[in-house]
Amino acid sequence: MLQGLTTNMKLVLFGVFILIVGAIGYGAYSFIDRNGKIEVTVNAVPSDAHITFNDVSTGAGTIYLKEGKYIVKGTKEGFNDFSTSIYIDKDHHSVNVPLVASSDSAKQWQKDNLSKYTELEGSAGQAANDEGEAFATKNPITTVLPFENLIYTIGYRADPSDPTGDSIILEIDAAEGYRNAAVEQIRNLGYDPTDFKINFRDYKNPFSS
Amino acid sequence: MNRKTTLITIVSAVVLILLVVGGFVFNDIRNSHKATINIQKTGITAEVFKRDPNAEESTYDEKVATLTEPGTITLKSGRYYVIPKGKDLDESQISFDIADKDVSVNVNPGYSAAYLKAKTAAEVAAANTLITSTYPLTSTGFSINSGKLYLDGSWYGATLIQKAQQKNNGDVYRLVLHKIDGKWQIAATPQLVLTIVDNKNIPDTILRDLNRDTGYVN
Repeated sequence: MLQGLTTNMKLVLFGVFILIVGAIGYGAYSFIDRNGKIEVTVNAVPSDAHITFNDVSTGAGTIYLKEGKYIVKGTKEGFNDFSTSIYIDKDHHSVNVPLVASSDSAKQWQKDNLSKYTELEGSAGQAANDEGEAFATKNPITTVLPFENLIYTIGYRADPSDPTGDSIILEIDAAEGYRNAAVEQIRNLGYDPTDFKINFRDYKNPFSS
Repeated sequence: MNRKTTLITIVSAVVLILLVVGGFVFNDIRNSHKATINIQKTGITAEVFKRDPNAEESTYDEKVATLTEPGTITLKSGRYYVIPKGKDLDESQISFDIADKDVSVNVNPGYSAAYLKAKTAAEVAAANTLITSTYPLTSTGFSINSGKLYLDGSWYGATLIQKAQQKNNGDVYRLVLHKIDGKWQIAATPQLVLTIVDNKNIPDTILRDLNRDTGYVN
């Protein structure tokens, strides 16, 4: 089949073949490597800061991580070390690493690049908005709380047992004899109290041992 | 057109047709998945319906299968439900969706509300005895409402009303009993709200129904 081709043509074909095989191989490797992982955007200022997730060096840009809690650190000579913890999941997949200058030369760099810090703040604000929307989507009852009247209040707080921070505990403050009215109010707001963790303030169940 | 060109044209057409037909077949297979209907008691007939997405009333839904014993059927993507049929059984729909994987549907209906109501009276005394012996406080500070049997009759839920004091209506507590080996046991201690997260071993239909019960209307 290749008998009619010149040596150069054969070399070109061989090169194309190697390229295609390489591309397919890289695609397959990327697919397997990223499978089950979340695309995380890491924004850093300065962009060449050394960044680690759980002590694994990643750098800024797009990385792929499994869902879970991470300690993110950012370092660069002349800047204060940066550290934060974040739970990466489908609703929390953006990390901002703004390093604050400490040395004179770094302070000058920071002064010259204030727009980059402003941009990062804007990105952080957008991420916070997105996360706020995701939180409200997961906990729509929060859009109608707190609810208050003369005999009880219904509020909410983050559930500390959920590392994502997306779960809530309803807090009911009601006098004895009026707690059920508060529970009924949850139903009146359009939600089934059965589905929530509920804490009654200043209350002890008389039947608990 | 010479013979070679004709042959190439015919082969190309055949390949194209095969590709199109193959595409349809592949798409059909890709959108079809197995539903294993686990009928968990004898004497139950499971009628499987496909929900009509354009109709609000279930009368327009199409019956796609009837099973009298556990079995597996192949269904296209869509929303389905099973109606269990049998003597004194709860014929509530058991919904399931066919999307991107095989599913397993448990058909284990409880008794009908009418049947359970008729059977409740015989269990109230034993249930109340257990409640008062486990929680002596109920004898003095609470009144125990007559409860309800649920599902297969082995679950019993009741409300306790705190006796009213001055300027105090009294809170309503709910608890669940479960009959195991013919003996009632406490499944959920009395609580103001029986939440799913605190009572994972109790079917949520029971919790939801009891939480709806204000205790003051029986």
